Amino acid sequence: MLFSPFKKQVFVTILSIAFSSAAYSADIARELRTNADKNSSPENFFEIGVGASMGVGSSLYDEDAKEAGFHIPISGSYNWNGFFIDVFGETSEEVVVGYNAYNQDNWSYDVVMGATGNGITQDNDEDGRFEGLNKREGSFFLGGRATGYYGDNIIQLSLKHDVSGRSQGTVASALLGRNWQVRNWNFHGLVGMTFTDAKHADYFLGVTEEEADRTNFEAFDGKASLNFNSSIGVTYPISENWIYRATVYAGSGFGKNDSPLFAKRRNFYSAISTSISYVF
Amino acid sequence: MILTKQNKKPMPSLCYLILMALTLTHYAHSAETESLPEGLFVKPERCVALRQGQICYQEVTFNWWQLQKGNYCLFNLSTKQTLKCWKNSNQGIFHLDFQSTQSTDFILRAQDQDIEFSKARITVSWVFKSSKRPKSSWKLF
Repeated sequence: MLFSPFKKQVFVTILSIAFSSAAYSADIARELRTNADKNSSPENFFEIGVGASMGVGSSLYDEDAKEAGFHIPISGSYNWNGFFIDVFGETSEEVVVGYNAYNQDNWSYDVVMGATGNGITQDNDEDGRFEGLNKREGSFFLGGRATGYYGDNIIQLSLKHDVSGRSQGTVASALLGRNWQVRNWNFHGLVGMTFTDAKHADYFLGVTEEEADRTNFEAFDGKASLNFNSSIGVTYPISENWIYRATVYAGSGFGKNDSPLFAKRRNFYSAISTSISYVF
Repeated sequence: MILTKQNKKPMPSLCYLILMALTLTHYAHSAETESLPEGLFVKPERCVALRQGQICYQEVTFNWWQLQKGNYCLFNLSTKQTLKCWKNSNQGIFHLDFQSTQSTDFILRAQDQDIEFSKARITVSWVFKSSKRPKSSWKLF
């Protein structure tokens, strides 16, 4: 749920496409950012704040694909009888709805559903760059994830498939996160690999022969891709209701940015964001 | 003679001034001490952690005053530990690197006696409330 007063689309593009790795970090974000452990999990909360971000990566719209701006980070988590809704605005998979099905000593198993948000549509194509292309609507993923807690380390494996029938894609991820507490500063680190299948890439970033005939884009078949993603950040409790956060992201965009739809292609992305939020 | 008189005259005045100064200083000190509130005080009184159950860290300073001089000790009620004792004193300062998962009470008490003179509390609070993660349960059936 990012808002930038200028070039909003560019930044959304950077986050949604090039930083799609962050999407799968969302699943683990709640655990890491609240410094949860295997014995306890955070209860319901909602937070909203102000922040500043800058990043460089690939972009569908901007030939520089470098962006800086302000945003309004929104995060929250609501749990009820095993059902949960997690909202983490600094990721592209902003909302994850799920059910905590089983817990062991060190592992927790969830059924999860998430939305990707729309791809290229008339609504976000103000310059008409993608005129003539078919609309790419958002996918709804249904799948499962397993989260393991080993000391301060959190491992998360997930497998999700599009059930909307649009992309019919599959996405799998393996993430390793870790918390450190230094005095009241709560650091977290996250590294992971994300596999995206060809159907998913083809639906969002492919160009059919028909579309190629109607536009200046070359025909392109999306390919399966494997990318790494990482982030390191810190959260500091200023008071009972105010927290400060800073996070640095880095990762790769191999494969997906072979698409001719990109105005700027980079194999790697990096970004930094900082924010102050009020927690209700 | 005249010189003698002149030399002797200022002496009583000087003594008088010194006595006055000492007296005023004494009264001023007494007034200052008596105006201080008796008790044990800690600043800051609150420590905020990110999550419930985490250790909260806070550098705090204790100040205490008593009307009567004596042997006093600062005591942690949670850990049952004496932090510091003062002998023949009616005031003291103590700096502590507070580390705790829960609110903690401290008392000023007489050394070797179970007499509590005053109490101060450091409240531990948090941003995210936590609950115990359920274990070994199938919820689907």
